[in-house]
Amino acid sequence: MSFLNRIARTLTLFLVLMTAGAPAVRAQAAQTPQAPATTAAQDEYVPIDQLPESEKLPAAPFLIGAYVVVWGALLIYVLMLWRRLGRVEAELRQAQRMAGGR
Amino acid sequence: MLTRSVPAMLLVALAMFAVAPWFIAQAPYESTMGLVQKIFYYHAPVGIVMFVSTFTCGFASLAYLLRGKAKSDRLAEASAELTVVLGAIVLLTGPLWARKAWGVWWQWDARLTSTLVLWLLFAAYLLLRRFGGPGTEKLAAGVALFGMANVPFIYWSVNVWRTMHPKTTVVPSLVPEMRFPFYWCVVAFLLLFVALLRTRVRLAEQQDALDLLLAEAES
Repeated sequence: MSFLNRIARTLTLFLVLMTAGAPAVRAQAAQTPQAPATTAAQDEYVPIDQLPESEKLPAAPFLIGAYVVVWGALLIYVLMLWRRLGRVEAELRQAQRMAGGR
Repeated sequence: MLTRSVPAMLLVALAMFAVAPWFIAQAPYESTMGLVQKIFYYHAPVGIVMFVSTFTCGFASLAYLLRGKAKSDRLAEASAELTVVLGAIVLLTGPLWARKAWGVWWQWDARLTSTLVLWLLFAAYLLLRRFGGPGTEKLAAGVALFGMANVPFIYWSVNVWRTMHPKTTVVPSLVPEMRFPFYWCVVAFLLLFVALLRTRVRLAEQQDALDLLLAEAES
């Protein structure tokens, strides 16, 4: 009988502890901060035109900017090169005339 | 006067560039990057031509160091200048792509940093030639050799070190709809490079002829 009594006491203690601990666990769960809202479209889908302006990063300006950089840099270089070549050739012609005149 | 081949090459290159946007627009969007990936069709070909320019400068510098011919030196100087121009384009278009694709303008990873080092080396080459005074041709040629040695390092860096930059496997694995506009732009930029290189070499030849004439007049 003493063995059965020990089992009964253990079970009673277990149930008491569970009952006593449940509110604490519930309170702790309530205090645990919620995970931040995901941005991976798991909770809801937001149409892109409803995004705040600060979060929009459209691709077109970057694409246009890159193409402008390519053509701007090449155009500036070609113009500079043509100008330098024209100046040197003019100076060379003048120097050749002066050398021929002496 | 320039040879007839330069205007012809320029015309063909311009015609190719005129239709390139149509081919690029027809190419499919990349699944993760979308529209901004279209920068690839100019960014990567300019990078390839920059490497060609770097090798041209490196081998011309080596030839100048071994044989001492002015022709090699002029070719080296011309291609160094083009390497700086093309490198500037690569270093400016890359961050524009990265800002949208990666969320940052720049990463100090092996590919980007070594490309910047290459550009700085050739900028140093031009500064040496401009302000170094007489006799700096050989020193500049040495700098060009260091620059050329950097190219294989830049190319393989994406396969060896951790980076966000696309790997070298991207170009061989392009689908035909992406491959065609890519190689179209590569050929167009190569033609433009050769035309500009010949024009720049012509400028150096004329400058040397002028300097010689002025030196003779003074003596």
